[in-house]
Order: sequence, then C-alpha cells, then structure tokens
Amino acid sequence: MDKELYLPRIAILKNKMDETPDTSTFTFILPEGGNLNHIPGQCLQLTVFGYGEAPISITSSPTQKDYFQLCVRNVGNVTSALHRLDIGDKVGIRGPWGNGFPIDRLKGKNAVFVAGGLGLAPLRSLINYIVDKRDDYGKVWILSGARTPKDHLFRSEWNRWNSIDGFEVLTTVDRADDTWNGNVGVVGSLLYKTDIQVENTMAFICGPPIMFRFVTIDLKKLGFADDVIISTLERHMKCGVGKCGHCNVGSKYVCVDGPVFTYEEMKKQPEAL
Amino acid sequence: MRVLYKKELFSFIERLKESYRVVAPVKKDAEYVFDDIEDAEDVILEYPTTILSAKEFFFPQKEVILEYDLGETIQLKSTPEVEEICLIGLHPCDIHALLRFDEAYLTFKPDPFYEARRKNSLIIGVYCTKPNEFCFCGSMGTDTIKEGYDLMLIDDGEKYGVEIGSKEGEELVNSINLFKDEEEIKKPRLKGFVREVDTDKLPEIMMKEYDNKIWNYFGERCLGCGKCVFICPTCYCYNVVEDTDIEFNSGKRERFWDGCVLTDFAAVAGGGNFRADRTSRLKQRILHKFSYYPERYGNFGCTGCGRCINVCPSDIDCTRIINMIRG
Repeated sequence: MDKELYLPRIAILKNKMDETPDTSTFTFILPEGGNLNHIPGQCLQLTVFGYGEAPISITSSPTQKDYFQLCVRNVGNVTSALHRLDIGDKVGIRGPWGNGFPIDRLKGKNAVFVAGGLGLAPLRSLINYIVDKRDDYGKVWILSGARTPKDHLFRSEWNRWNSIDGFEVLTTVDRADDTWNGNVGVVGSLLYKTDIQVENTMAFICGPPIMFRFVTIDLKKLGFADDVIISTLERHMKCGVGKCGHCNVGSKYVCVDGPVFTYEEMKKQPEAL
Repeated sequence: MRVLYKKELFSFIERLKESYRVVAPVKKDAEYVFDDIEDAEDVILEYPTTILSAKEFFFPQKEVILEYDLGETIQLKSTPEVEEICLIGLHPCDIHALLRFDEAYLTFKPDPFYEARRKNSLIIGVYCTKPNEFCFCGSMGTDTIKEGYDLMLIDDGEKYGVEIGSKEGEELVNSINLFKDEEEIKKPRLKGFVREVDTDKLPEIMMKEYDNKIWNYFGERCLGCGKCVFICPTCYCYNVVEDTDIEFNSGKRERFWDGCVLTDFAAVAGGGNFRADRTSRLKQRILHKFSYYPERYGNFGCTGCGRCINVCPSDIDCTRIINMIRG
C-alpha cells in the first residue's frame, strides 16, 4: 500500500444531485464494488484527471456499502472541473485518510451537531452512521444554519432525520426570503431554542472559523467541557500523508492527526483557532 | 583503524565510479557545491559549507510522482526511477539533516520516492575541521555523528582515518585494497564558533514567547523570497502541479520544493490564507524547526548549518531571534 502512496485508485461518477446553486452531492462507485470502509469524518484526495487533486471530506456513511458520496462546492480549479463531469466519468481517489470522528467514544452518548453552511457535509457522514446504528447512540440534535434558504444542504433529508425517535432538527438562515418561515439568526442561537441535554453529550461543530468561535462560547456557557467539543480543521492538504507541510498546524498535520480535533486539543496548537 | 592515504583518494573515487553515480563537493567560483564527479581530482574534502545542501539528491527540486494515460482504461504509473548514488564529503551536520528527513519521510507512510533513493545510496562523510562564521552546529549537537553514514573520514594530514558505519561500508573497505590498518586517529573537536544558541528547554521557551514583538521586527524585514527554505537541508515541504497534453489524453503530476515563508503556502480554495502576513510565515518556519518538529519527532528540525543566515538578503538570523527571545 505504501508503495502506492501517490497512486490514485479509480472511482466512477454514478449520480450528481444539486444541493445549492454552487454545491452538489456526487455519488461514486468503485469498479471493484464495495465502499471506502472509512470512518465518518475522514477525508480523501480527489483527482480530476488533467486538473489535479483536492482534499474533500466524505459525506456518506460507511454503512452505505455500495457507494460513497462527496458534497462539493464549486470553488476552485479541481472542484469546478468535478462539477463539469458527466455521469460515468472516472476520477481518482487516494485515501480515506485522517482520524475521523470518535465514534467509539460517542457510543452510548448523545450528540449535538452544529453546522454552518457546507459544514453539514462532513457531519452528515456521522449523522447517517448514527441513523443506521441507532441502538448504539443516544439523542441527536441537528442544528443547521445557512446564509439564505437556498444555501441549505441536504434539505431532502431533514424530514427523515426529524421523524427518527430521539432526533430533532432545527434550522436557521441569516437572511430569509418568501420561501422561509423558520428561524432567522446565527446557528448558535438554535442551542437555546430547544432543551439540549449537556450531560453525556458530545458536540460536533463544522463551519467557518468565525462560527466555530461563537458556537464554542455558547457551548461553554451551556456547560460543555473542552474535550467533548469536537470540530474539524480545514487546511489545503497537498499530499494527505503528512509530508508536504501545507496542513501543518503546530506539531500536528491536519491530514494525518486530524481533521477531527477536540477543542481541548485545538487550544494547545497555535494557529488552530 | 582503517586508513586511506590522501594520495589514494582519487583511485578510491575512480573505483566508486565503476558502480555508483558519484557526487562530492567541488569548487564553484568562490564557493563549493555538491556535484557529479567527472574527474576525481575535482573532489575537495576540505571545505567550509556547500551553497546548497545534499537534499536534492534524495528529494529533487522537481520530480514526477504520477503519470497517466486517459484511454479506454486509465493507465496510472507512480514508480520511482533511481540509480545507485554515492555521496562523498558530507559533513556531520548534513548527515544529521538526512536523518531528520528520514524521520519526516520514512517513519509514517514512507514516501516511496525518497525511500528508494535513500536505499540506493552510499554515504561517505568527512568530519568538518573548521566552522565558518554562520555555523552553529556546536550548539545543535550536530558537529559530530554516530550513525547515518556508511563510512566517515577523519582528516589527519596525509591520510584519513576511516570509521565504518554499516555493513555496506565494511564490505566496501574490504573489497578495495587501498585501505591500510594503522593506529587510531581521533575525531576533531570543532572550536571557534561565532554563533551560539542555548537549546535547553528551547521548544517550550519559543512557544511561551509566541506573541513576543521580536517576531514582528524580523517578520517585517522578511522579503518572503524563500531562499532560506531552498538551501535548508531539512526543509521538506512541497507543492504539486498537474500538467497535461493539450487534448487531455495524458498527463503527469509533479511535486516541487515549496516553502512556508512563501505568500500562498497556507492559502485555501475560496481565497482564504491562514498565514496572510510575513510575520506569521517567518514564525512558522522558525517554530517548526525549534518547537513543532521537536515535539513531533524528538529532535530539532535545524542542524545549525548556518546556510539560511548566509543567504538571507534581509540578514534574518535564527540564532539572533532565539537569543533575543531567550533574553
């Protein structure tokens, strides 16, 4: 395997679903069948041949045995090339890499998910993992915020999640329009709109750094300890294997030591927050 | 102890050239560089420091890490092409640098390209006899060496004492009848350093002074030119670019040296840059050597070779930064 550190394997684009005007969920299959056997929260390096590689978090749960999904915003050279691909086109993948979310530590506990915009993409992997392994986990709160109603991801799954016993979905937007009669305001405000149990609960936050800072303040206020506040760091990984240095944060490499870190770990590394 | 008379050095190098690509220090204008040896008489083993380190022979400035053909089935190739190489004349500091590189590139998910080159190399070092004004290996504990070489030469006037550091080194000495058995020759002890730093608890002290204004003083002078990174024997960061033919039928992926002091090193898609100012970039480079790398791998990421001090157009000197921070 290590001999092939820089050799991508092939995946085939099976389906593409638009989530927002600039973000789509891409479903891939492996020619040899099966899935990536990843841990929710892990990343991979996606190659669009001719354009290069980009690090992308995996948005599907490993409990989906026949495919994997990436939810990608059209924002750079590689991602815009991905958006132009046709069904049946081949891409390269290296990975999955990184530590992933602490699924064993979470066993028997409740989970509160706080997502800002595209941050719901990596969290969705863990949410759907819990859905499929319902008996192993406690209550689940999903709080999702977006700039406008059309920027919300995975709207088609809100009802399904909300109908599961012990699940609660709350959503908000920064700016409402005619189609929206729900909450307006920052996602952190949703923490106060329901009765979130702090005891035996872990919090998972993904979103822009500024949102993470404010949500952490709210979670601390509610009584969450530093080691149960969990997030992911975003850096531009080039290699994915702890060599190229681009994702270096203090003594850590986001690609191999992360991308998942507790707030306690982040506080120890300069530049992490 | 085995010894090699200096008058036999050329014959020795000629013999090595039969089986290896031989690289050694040669004079280039007023300075010295590691270069391929055509004529054994060009080799100079008494030299202060080379301009560039020896890292390029294991981690080339640019190399193809993936080639592909996009036909009916996609053909992919990621195979290192290496030749047997013999590096002669590395000083202890530069051998330490290779050991640091090994820690970063071989301990976790070994880099196949670097690994293949390292495995196909023979290292014949020479103990340095005189530090130049930029050297501070004496402070970093890299002025002498116990591992990481096949043979190590100790200069003793008309001959070299030969320390054997590996099985390959021993076989080499035994297979060539140029080596004699004579009395032990002592390793030199380097003296007369102009630059010194105190490394006691240095990783912790540097982190404690993370917000010290001294960083801004040096950061504002930094031109972000990247010379310090490229001449550094332990800077191992790289960038990757994709290159295809005009019809998108085939392509290749190349990696090339990159550096954390360069403007876009920590830039991400969408326009953000985690190190948008020069101070944060300079601080990253220095702290990686003296705090982050030691925390991760146990050794300092700097070997005290002094090259970065020598080449900096803004006279940024890491020993001065450290000494000012230590107060």
